[in-house]
Amino acid sequence: MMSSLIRSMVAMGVIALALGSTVVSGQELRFSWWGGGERHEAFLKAIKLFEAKNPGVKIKAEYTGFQGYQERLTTQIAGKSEPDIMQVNWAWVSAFSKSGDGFYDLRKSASVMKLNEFTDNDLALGTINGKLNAVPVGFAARMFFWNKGALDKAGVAIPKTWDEMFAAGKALRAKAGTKAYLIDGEGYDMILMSHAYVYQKYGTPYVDPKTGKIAMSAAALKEWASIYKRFQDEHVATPLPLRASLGGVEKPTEQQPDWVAGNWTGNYTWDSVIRLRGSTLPGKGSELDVGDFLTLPGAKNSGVFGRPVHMYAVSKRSKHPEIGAKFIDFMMTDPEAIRVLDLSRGIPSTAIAFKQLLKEDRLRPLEVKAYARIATLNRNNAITPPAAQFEHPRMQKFMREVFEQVGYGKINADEAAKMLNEQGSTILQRL
Amino acid sequence: MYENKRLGLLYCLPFVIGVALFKLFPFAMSFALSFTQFDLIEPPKYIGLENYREMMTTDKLFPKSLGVTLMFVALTVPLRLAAALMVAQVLNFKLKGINFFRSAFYLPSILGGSIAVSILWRFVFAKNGLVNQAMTALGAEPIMWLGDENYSMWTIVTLNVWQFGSSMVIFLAALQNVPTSLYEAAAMDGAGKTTVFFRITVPLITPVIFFNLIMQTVHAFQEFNGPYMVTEGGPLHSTYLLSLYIYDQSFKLFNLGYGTALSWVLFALVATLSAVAFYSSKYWVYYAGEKERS
Repeated sequence: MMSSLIRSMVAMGVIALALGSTVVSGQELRFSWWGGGERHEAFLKAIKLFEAKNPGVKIKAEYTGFQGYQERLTTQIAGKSEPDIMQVNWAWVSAFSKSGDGFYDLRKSASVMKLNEFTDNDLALGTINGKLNAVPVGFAARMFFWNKGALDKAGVAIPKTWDEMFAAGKALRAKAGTKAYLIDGEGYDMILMSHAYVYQKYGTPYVDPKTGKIAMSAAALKEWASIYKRFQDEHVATPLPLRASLGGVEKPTEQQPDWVAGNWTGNYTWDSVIRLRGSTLPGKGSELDVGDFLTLPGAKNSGVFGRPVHMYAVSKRSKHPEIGAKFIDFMMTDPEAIRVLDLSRGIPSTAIAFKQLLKEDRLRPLEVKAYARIATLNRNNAITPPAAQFEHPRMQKFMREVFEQVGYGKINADEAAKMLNEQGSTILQRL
Repeated sequence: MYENKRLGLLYCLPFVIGVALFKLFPFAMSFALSFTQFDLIEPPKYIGLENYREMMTTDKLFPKSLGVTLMFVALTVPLRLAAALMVAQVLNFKLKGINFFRSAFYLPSILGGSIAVSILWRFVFAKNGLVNQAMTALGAEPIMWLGDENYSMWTIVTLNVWQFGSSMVIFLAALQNVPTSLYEAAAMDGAGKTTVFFRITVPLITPVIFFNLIMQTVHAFQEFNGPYMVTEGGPLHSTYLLSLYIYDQSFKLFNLGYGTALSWVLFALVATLSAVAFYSSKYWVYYAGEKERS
């Protein structure tokens, strides 16, 4: 009895192993991404298209929302079980691949990729120690978007300078009441908007992209905290406690009833999400306009915060890295894939994709306008991508905590500057 | 006989292997990792007691998070047990349609831990949410439940207390086991309802109160979904329970060594409090058939 039981167990084990090996021995690759319903739908269609064009290849989709994606991917990489093809954030690339060996070097598969469709700057953003770890899907920058209809109704002109913005905040409040705020943004957006002001005034970002160390002077750090508080106190930007009380500081603007009602008249956000922001407005965003990037007299820098939207990378452990590279190339350059993917991932960074979308009238005038502005800034080298350390999760958490205390009036600008300098340096040293 | 014993052990083997692989091994590994600096990507680096030293000296968030956790447990556990016992007492009466009410009161326990209900809670307690609309209708000033550090704790406490169903069911079973002869005797002696409850009912169900106390305390220390989804630990870390801090350190900040050290401190805390509860139980828990204490 005992021996027959063991024999059966061994037989079942052999069958299970055989079945398992059948699955992994084919050209099956896993592709993981985050996004919303529209992106999921478009990506699944693109996968089918790729599979049809490449018989014998199977791409297994693993998709979720953004929340928890990084944690899941980190655990998978730690367990050496990450997907073959991954959508990653720009800042994660250097965290996962400190020496450049964390991902497959896409240059090894240059023969199946049209890398000339990317600009040198784009490729540099995914290169570590000469190895192309990832390619950017698109480049985005935070811009000022205004609900022109709501501002016209209140008789307030779109501001062009920071001083005009403070004046406009006051005017809007006087005309539209205390529920009205000139501009809204998620928690991190408001930190960056204040950073833009200080970057323009002092000419240095918080973290130096070259050295990875804190570059701002004590005076600049103090002004960063001061201006952040001033935006809230002078009724220019939606205050942090208010946003928290409405369901979380990171709750997207388009889900805020005050944005839909036109009480919040502007948004400081990525150009890539503006269609989403407009989706809940009565005119589906037709009243939105992209404003000039606010400037200071004698600004030393554009202050614009721009970087790749997200990137595609191939696992260094993939059994079929060449197919992974080919798939990425397909997503970025194949005319049919570009059509199917449309704007589900923003405006793609490859020249061929942009031209096709423009030709096929897939871009709205506002998107083209914002894209053109960013392209001009990039051509003039007016956008310096931030230090990767600036967007490291530990630095993000630290900055959010400091500015939360500023927003709630728990610490003053001097205390905030001291924390940003001393504690920020300690964190940077550890990264 | 011997053959059957081996077969029995073979049947147990999957469970033993499962426990060893998925419980004991991670348990031991987490203890080892708590003495390392481990970012999940590079191999762990041994740093001795550095994680624990940092926790006790320089990390300002740890005492804050610990205090918040203790406050959450101190508020949640008594309120949840009181609510469970109170409702169980009411549902113990023989009323028409009582089974419907028993199911209805148990329902939040099934739903309450889910992400969907946590999101719903966020809408309910938002500044423009249902709670504030009700308060305004009653003439009260709206409160920034999610945005004010003085009130945010109550949003996750109420969500947790609302899920009292499992304790309630256990209390209900215990109440039904109290001999009715004791109630009849008390009634004949002229005891009032309050006296009967505190002098007869409560002493007789102390083993179940103790069981629920231990279970709910452990559960409260492990609470994650509510604060993660409703308040995200904020504002100003006012709902930043240790479970959230452990998760953030381990998986968001690539600091698994420190995260595991935090986990072990939480484990030690729960173990100590449980030990204290067990020790104190001999003074207030009465088991049927137990000899009178000297």
